[in-house]
Amino acid sequence: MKPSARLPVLLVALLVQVPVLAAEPAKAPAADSKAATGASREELVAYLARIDKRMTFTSDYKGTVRIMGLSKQNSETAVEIHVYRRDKTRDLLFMTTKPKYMAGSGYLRVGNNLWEYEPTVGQWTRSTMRANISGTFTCEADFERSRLAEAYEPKDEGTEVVDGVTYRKLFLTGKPGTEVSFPLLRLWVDPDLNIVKRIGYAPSGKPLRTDIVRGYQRIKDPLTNEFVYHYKEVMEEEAEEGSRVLVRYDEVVLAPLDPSIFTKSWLESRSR
Amino acid sequence: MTLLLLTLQGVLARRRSWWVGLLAAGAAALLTPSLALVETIHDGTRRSLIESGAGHLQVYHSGSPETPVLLTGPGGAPELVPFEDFPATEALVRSVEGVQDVVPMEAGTASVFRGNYLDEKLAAVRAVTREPASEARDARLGRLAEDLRRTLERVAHDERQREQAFAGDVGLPEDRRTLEAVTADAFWVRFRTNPEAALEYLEERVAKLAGEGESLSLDYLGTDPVQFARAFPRFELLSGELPPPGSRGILLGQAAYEQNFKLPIALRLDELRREREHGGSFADERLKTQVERNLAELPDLLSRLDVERASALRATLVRVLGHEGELEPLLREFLSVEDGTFDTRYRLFYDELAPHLPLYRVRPGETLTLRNRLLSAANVPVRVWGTFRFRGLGGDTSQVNSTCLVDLVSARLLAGRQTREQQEEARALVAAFGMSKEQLSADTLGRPMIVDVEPQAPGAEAPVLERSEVAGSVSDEELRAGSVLHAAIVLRPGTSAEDVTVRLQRLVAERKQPLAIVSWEEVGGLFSGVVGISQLVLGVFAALLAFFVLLVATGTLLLLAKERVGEVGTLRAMGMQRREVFSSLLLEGLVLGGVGGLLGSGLGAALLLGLAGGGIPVSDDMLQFALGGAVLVPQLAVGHILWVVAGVLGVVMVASLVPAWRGSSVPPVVAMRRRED
Repeated sequence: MKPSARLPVLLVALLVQVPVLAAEPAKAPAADSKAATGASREELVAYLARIDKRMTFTSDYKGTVRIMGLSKQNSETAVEIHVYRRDKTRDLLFMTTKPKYMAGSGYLRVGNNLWEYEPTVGQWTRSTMRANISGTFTCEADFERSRLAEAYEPKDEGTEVVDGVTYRKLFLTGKPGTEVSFPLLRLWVDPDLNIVKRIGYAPSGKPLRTDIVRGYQRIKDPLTNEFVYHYKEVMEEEAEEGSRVLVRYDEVVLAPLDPSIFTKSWLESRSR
Repeated sequence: MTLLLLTLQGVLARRRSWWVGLLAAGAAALLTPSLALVETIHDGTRRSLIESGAGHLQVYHSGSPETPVLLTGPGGAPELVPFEDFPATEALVRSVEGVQDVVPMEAGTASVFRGNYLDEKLAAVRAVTREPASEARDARLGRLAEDLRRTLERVAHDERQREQAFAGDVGLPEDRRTLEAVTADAFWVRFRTNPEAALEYLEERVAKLAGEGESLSLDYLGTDPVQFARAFPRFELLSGELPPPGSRGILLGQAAYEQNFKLPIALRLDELRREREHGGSFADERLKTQVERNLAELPDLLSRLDVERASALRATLVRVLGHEGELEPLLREFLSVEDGTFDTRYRLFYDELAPHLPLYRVRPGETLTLRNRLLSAANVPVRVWGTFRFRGLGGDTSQVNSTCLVDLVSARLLAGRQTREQQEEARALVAAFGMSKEQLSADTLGRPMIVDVEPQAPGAEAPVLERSEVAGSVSDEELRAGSVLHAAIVLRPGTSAEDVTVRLQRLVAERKQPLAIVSWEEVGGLFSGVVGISQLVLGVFAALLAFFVLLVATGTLLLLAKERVGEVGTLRAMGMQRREVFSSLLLEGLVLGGVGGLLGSGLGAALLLGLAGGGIPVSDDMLQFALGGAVLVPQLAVGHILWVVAGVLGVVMVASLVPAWRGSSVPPVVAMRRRED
């Protein structure tokens, strides 16, 4: 993680005071592992790679994400975002279509550059931080392909049995020099390799966000003819404010996208 | 009368007792000007705060976990519960006798991101590419492209220097290749045919080489700027205009404008001028460093100039320096100031050069995009209406002048609170999405639902959306009826804040309203603390002085009482009562303390008026706010002298009690025997 990206995360972490931490501290694994599998690092990396593969499209991707948020003060927000992504080149574009006052705004990532567009003033901001998306606390990484094996160093935390189902627990640490939204991550994975819960932590170990993955959609990738398990519904809870959002992924289109989509001119041309 | 005469005789006869009077005079001479100064500081800070936004009182929701503040600290804005119905609250407060105005407000901090000079330059070129096609546009684009190419050649040069400094950095070879590509002729041929694609390439690959850009913080008060300007007499508009009633936007505090948006070279020249006004010389290392920094930043300044400005600037420099030359060497010569040339160059800089420079990054009439990075709130674009300062409360670096004023709606959006219209739209969208609050309940672990989905075929092209304008105006109802966190109460002249507080509290209790009231001191935070500290220091100083006077006076009077045992015995033998002796000795203390206190207070007052009566100039911006203006004029009141004299008198009286009791308690027989001894 670059220092420029680490700073805001650290700042956020400093401000976060959350009871969840007390219940689920980001301590070193194995200490609380009652049934550690004792898997080697290579096995764990391979395990993460399998999870990544199941969630990665080879085709270009277009989808619509709808987010409902509820703040601690009980006020509602609703956002609809069109997501365009090309996993081969890590190009990513978000265009907010609803609500009206945010329509036309967006984020564009090309390589390591991330820009934010404000259509009311026609202004692009080259962002130095991985910002939250469209006024919610979902982040860029939620909409791109899974990069767990590339970006994190895994440690085994054994298993946890709930209602007769055994979930595997992994504790991941972001690799140096890698841009990740959460420097530390704890995962619960079901026997079919579906992530069912994850908690993102700041480097200090303070929890930032807890996600419950309630549903996946199984889609056949036309390029590989293999099934990809893509999120359908995720409930995210921000540790600091206690705000929650429900994220739904709809209307997935797997087909080649015009390269001009991943340009500033294209997003500008969407606002009249 | 006899007793008094006897006392006076005693005092005059024993010069050693005068030490007590001198002590009292010394203490009074020190305390009188100190008390006047502390009172003046208190009054200055009080006026500063009251007249620059705090008001005499502040009212807020009593259910709030914190209290309002005028300037937010590192912890961010205080957590306050909005009024349930601000218009009703305002009407209630206005009904209290003595209330002149009720100004809604909320404090916060916003951030503004600004890119590096290449980001800005590329954005300017991009704006030209968006203009309708015309010969004039193409000609301008051609000039800008040429200018851009020269700038990139400069960046390439810097990059080569960087490469020498950071040899071995894996990123550099790729950066070098990129720079070589964009400074080659072929790239600029492509630029002419497809400027947008070339710009994309420059923005993606090259702009980052000039630095990451930076995020600025702006402290703001969300309020009705027009009402604010009317209610607080220190408000002074410096540029632009007040927003028309019902308009949204921001008024930038002059210090925030200067420190955050001014060309760094100009800002440094201003600092040099301030230093010189305080006696600084270019022989000082600090001033020399500032000049060197200005020269080091010349490439950055040149990169910000488009070709038209650069030509005009060069022509001006040729004229004022009196010889030909290229722009950079001419600017270097102009900015290489020293004691003999600074004043002239400083004047020329603003009179002649500044019109050709991008002196400020944003000007009144333009738009700033604000954001609250601590919250997941959306961007809030606001029109800059102008700049202002609080009159007499520090200049371009004063903290109080760093505060900006934004409209209430923008402040709510920055704090993550939606407008009513946005709330209604959000509710409608949630329903349209088929979502409900119940779905937000936290689940424990459970296996996720897997649904099989057929990927959709590519459909219509992405929608083209209506671009909303930067919100210009808003209804008074939206401004006032939306959530308001606190409000400043400004009182009519001559009204007692304590009386209004009592009246308001009574009314709030009668109406059972959840309102709490705090004074300007609590809202002032750090600045009120300065007053508190000065009062505490004075209190400690006075207590130590009193203790010293008490000890020395008691010792001196005890010694005198011992010497006077024989005399007391004689007086007692002549029929004087013990009570009368006690009173006489106590009266001596009273005379010494009273005369000493009066003389000392008079001396202190004379010294204060003589030395500082015309006012003490205050040059420091921070102190100007704490002291209430650019000149501190100590206000000496009769009350100060009376308080000091009474205090000194009291201390000397207390010091006299034990000697008087000891002196009067000697039986005549013992006293006579002592005399015989």
